Amino acid sequence: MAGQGLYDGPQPTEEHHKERLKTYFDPLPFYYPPLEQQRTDAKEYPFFAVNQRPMFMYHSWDSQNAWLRQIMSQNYLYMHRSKGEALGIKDFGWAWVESHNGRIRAQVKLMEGVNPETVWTWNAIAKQQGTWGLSDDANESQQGFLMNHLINELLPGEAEADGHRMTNSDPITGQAAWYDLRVKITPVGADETDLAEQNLTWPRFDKVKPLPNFTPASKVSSYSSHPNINISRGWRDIFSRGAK
Amino acid sequence: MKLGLVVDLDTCVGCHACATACKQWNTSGTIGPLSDERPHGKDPSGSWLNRIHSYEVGDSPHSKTVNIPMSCMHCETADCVTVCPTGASYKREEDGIVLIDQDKCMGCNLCSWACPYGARELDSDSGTMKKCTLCVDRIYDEQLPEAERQPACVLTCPTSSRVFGDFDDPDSEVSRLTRERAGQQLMPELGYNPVNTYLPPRNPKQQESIAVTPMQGVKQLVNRIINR
Repeated sequence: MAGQGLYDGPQPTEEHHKERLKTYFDPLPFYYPPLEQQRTDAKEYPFFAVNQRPMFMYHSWDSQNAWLRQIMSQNYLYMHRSKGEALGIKDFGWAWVESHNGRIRAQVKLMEGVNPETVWTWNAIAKQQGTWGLSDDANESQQGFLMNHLINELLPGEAEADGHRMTNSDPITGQAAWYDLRVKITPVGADETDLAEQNLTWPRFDKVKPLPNFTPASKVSSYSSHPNINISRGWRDIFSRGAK
Repeated sequence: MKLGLVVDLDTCVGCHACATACKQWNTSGTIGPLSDERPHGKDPSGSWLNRIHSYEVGDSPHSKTVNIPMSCMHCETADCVTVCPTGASYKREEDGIVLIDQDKCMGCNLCSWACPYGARELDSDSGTMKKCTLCVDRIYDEQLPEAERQPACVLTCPTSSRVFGDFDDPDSEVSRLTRERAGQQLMPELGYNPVNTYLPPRNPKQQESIAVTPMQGVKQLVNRIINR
């Protein structure tokens, strides 16, 4: 009603805001193609791209630590085997992933249990070199990648009449529309200029300067609240080695 | 007593909660610490007493992801104990738990070669072998409330895929589950007679698409009434 001007409270002044309220604040649910996809060419960008937080990082808010990074220190772009093979991308091969907003280089893992039109990855694994106390050659900064570079906070396409560009978020909740992303995928080819870079993620950033008094992590970590306590063993147990 | 675990492969989602809870408890346990190599470097690794392996079975669209948590099976015929030259590795008479005496272990690796389940991991820092203790320092601790006298992995599992109990007792939950859901030993042909059992995942039923009978007549009638 605010969009239609039938409401006494605050009302939007701009025409396109009114239009957005009128269209999407429908009391009954209705379907419309996601806003970003309405403005993206599905032929040029044939894949949906989504990302998912790893289960074991839910209780650590995606933060990497010495144990969790042993479970996963690098993420892969998971895609359906048939699609990967059709594009000439091998298991663990590298590929360019490109959206309307930018492109990244990622290592691909082919799998069966994924929708063929969709590619996905674990998010928040990649870290910039020099951060999180990681060494310069850590897998997170060398092979890990983020989809952030593919996603714009603004919708693609023409600006509105007044020069504003529309936000890339759900019109009702305002939630950033990360899952509306479409991408195209091409194998990393022989025409790449820098061969040494082929097995590294892209884009690459300068190393973050360490904080004052930063001490590099130790090569081995071994912590416990107390030295190990051996369970008391009877002589018979020791001599028979527990055999019945 | 024959203490062991039942792992339900049908409900395990591969979240690694059991592995991290295990490491957290046991790094300060009887066998700890469980050290880490290159914890902040390239290709980090470390000692874990429980690891989760994930596989895809079958080809699309009838594929299925299976997660298999692997820890010590506390085998009845434990070759890892027989091969130990120092007597550090032993199987307890009273409850069948296989343990390693950290004071006697010299890290010769023979037991890890004898174990077909990959349950034993050499700690590169202490130079001794580490393995699942079935949280022997929890399950008998009378200072803990009775409900918590269970291995850390069992307590933490969010899908209750892990059950701990006595396989010698035919009425225990582990015996009942193994019986009712056809629990399997892993690689029984090797003859180690592992105590832990795994409940197999459900057979993925071929999902038939449901034929929707168009109720054109009714729908049109209703629409006409509504539109009026």
